[in-house]
Amino acid sequence: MLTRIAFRNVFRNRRRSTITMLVLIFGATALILFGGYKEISFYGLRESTIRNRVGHLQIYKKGYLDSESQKPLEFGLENVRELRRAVESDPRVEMTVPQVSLMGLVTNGEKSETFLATGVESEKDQKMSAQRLVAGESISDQENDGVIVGELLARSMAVKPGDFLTLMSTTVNGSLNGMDVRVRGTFATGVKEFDERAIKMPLAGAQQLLQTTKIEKLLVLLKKTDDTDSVKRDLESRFSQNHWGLEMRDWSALATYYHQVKNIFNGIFGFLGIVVFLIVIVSVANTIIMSIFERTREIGTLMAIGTRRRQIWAMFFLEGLLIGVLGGILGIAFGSAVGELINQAHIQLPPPPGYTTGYQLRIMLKPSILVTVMVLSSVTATLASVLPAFKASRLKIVDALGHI
Amino acid sequence: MKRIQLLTAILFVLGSTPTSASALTGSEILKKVDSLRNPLSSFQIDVDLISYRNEASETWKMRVFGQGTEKSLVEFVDPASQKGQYLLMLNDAMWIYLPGTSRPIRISPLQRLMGEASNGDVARTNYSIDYDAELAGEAEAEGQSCYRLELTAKDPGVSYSRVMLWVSKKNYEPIKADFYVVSGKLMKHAYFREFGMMNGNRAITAIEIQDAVRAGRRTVMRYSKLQPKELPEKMFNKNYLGKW
Repeated sequence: MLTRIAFRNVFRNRRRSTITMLVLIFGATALILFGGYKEISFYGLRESTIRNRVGHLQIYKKGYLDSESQKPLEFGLENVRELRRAVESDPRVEMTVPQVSLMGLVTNGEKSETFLATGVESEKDQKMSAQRLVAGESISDQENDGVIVGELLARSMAVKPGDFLTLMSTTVNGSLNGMDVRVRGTFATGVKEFDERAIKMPLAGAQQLLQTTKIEKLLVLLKKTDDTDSVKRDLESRFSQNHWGLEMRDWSALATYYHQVKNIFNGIFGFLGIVVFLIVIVSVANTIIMSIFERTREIGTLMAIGTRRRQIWAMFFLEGLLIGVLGGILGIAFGSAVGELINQAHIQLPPPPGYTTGYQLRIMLKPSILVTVMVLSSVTATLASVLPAFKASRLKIVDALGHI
Repeated sequence: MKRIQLLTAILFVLGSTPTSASALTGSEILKKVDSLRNPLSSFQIDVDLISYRNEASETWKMRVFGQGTEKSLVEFVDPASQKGQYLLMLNDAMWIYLPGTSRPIRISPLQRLMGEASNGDVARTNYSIDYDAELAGEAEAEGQSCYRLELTAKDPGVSYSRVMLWVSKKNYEPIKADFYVVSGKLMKHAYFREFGMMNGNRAITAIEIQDAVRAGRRTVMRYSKLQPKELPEKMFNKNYLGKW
């Protein structure tokens, strides 16, 4: 009965209810958009990190992670083909990417600098598109001694695509080795320290320089990121069953930048969320207080005809709850609509530093966000009406009746 | 008929008389070469190193203490900025000790690619121990008639996997050496410029090393005052570097 009255009151006081609900809708929309933007940013950064950089999983020889190797690839992976076949037999795996990294001196005949090279298969490197090509073309499996060079290194060595450099390094045995390479192209990652030293070369070329058939690590890319944990577990049991002496890391353990950004974003948006919440709760409280104030005579009348104080309180409480729930539903609807509009507008954002592809500005409408908004809205409105409702129920009937 | 046969026989004998030199094999020649470099089993020697980069040059003075072919300790004497530094070279491993620090720093094979450490590697190449020699013919080098020895590293861990060595036919002194890495790339030229008397024996007194990859870089090392010296084992222990 009380509920029905509360319900009717809400619709009766159209102006007051509308204002309160507008505030709630504003708050809900703000939270949905902030939250959605944050989520899509995380998603984009996560997928970039995984697909362009670290892969979903990385497989090493046991001991690699803790080791202090004196010679290159002392803890390198052998029997690579067998391992790759075993991993790729899982239908959840999209591809495996073998990698070797090495350091040495690069010289153009006049000047020498240290370099950091990564040896990869050209086809896999294309799929991962880890760097943005600035000039020339990418590496090819047809040319084992064709490399691409960071643009700042290219500048320091005064080379452009087509020129030659000499790479000097040590083999896995500790012997010296040198290799003439042709610069096929230059790339930029946006990270200065990296572009000053980095070289990408075909895996076979790197192995030739190192005089080995081993690789440093095997990256595993899955079709769906959500499969990471289960695939990791399956692989781990497989490795121990076959006594292969391998160890693994998942992308989360390797994506330090991603976690740092996530923390910063959570901090910023957490703060924004609190601000929005405070604005909303103050506004809602304000309108409810005003609304109750304006209905003083009504309250007086109600009490005069025998409505108990407890019931007055409950009625206003219910009104607050109803407005909150209604506002929440409308807020979700409106916020989602705005979010979808933004998604349809296909606004492109520039790539974050160090990455090659930007992503589209999208609002990710995660159910958890919507539920949070709903709960917050209901709670806010209800809380806001608790005190005024209580106050209202404490009024002296005579004073209330005589109120303007 | 008999006369012709006799003449032919004499000519044949004359023509095919081997010179006393080519009776030696590649490894025997190599041993003779090495004897000019490390004649003593425990010694001390002064080394002046001049490093040229195009026209500019820097000079270092060092004293080297050596034991056998595997252990050497280099003490830097000049310039003042290097004084007090020690370089310990044991077979494959190299450590540098800087005065004022508590520990020597290990120099990885990679770091030996850089700077004068790479020339150190060349200069202390232990030909007979690390390489198998094959006589690959004769050639001229630096105006002298030489045997050409092709040296192949015995161990995959040796710095330079192949060396071409020109040895004078006259006196088995090394004239020139070319150093190649695994890929076949020529990295260094070494010229054995001067020979003199040290400690009563003939020895190499100056060697010039040219970088075959980077233009304008060469280093000249002059050896003097070779003398036998008893050296304690401690001297070649990295834990004692700088502590005596």
